[in-house]
Amino acid sequence: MKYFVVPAAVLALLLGVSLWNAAAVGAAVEPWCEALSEASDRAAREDWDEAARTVRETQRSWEERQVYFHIVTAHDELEAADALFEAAESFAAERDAAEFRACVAQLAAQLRVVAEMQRLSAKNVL
Amino acid sequence: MATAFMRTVLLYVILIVGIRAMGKRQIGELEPVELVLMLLISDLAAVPMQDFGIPLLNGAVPIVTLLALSMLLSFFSMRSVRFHRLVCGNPTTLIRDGVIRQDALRRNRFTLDELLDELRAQGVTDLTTVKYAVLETNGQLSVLLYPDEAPLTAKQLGRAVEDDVFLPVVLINDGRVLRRALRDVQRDEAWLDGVLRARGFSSAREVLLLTVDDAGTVLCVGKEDAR
Repeated sequence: MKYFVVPAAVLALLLGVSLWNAAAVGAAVEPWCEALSEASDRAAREDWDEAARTVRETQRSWEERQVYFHIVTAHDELEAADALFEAAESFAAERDAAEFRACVAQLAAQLRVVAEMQRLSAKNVL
Repeated sequence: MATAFMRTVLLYVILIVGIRAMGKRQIGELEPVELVLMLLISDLAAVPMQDFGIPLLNGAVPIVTLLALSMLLSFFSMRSVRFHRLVCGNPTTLIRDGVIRQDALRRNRFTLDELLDELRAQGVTDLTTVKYAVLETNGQLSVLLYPDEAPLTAKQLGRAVEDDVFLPVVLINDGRVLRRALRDVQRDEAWLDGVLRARGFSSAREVLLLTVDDAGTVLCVGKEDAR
């Protein structure tokens, strides 16, 4: 019976860990996207100090999870998000509202791509 | 991770169905399940090894998934003959009573030239001497000759033959004493020392190979540079 139980348990474990990972990445990304949306609104209100601080805090929180993200996600996608964080900070420093809001929207979309890549869906599998 | 897991499961099933559909001729020496495992694992291991931008998990998860799936298929194959036949197929008789079964050849995409090649490889040049030729599920051809064409056995001659075939067990391999094997054949180091001394060796390090069989026959080969 162990010849059934061991492989079945391994498959169940892999599926379970995969689904947990998808949920964990999604749960991590969503607050960052909300924070970036808030930063964009603040930039629209010309509240540049708060907008820049929100982006910096989001970036710090993002960097704290980098080891885990590099273990489970293609590194290209993470590096693209890193570059967008840097760009958003520099647009905030220049106080360029149009560029900043476009960049932040692109960054949120990129973070959602990272989460989407982990999700078990027909679109991803097929 | 979840995508890699599900893709692996799907591709494994698709490849097994594909290999089964290709017929036994394409398989070579492996069962379909083994062939698919070999095809996939070698590639999966290579990709994250070469591309550092891909997490190692993307290679490891599919490999572990494949191994577990393969173990499950083996388990179900052992439990159910019907399942085993579904996954591995049935042996097919290509020649029966010296007559080629052309429909079986066609079904397995086995050409006449390939059949003749296989027969020649087994020392058969005359089709009419073959009672059965069976294409096994691993793609090998088993050939059974008519009794009057096959080599005679002692039993057919009605001769009593002494059973003197014993499996030799290696006790010294390139100067190293295999103590577990020594225990398995219920001998000890004192016996081994006696055997070595009787053959002019002072230690096991001077011996390349020493075996003993169930009848107690010892084969001892010394190292060329030992004495």
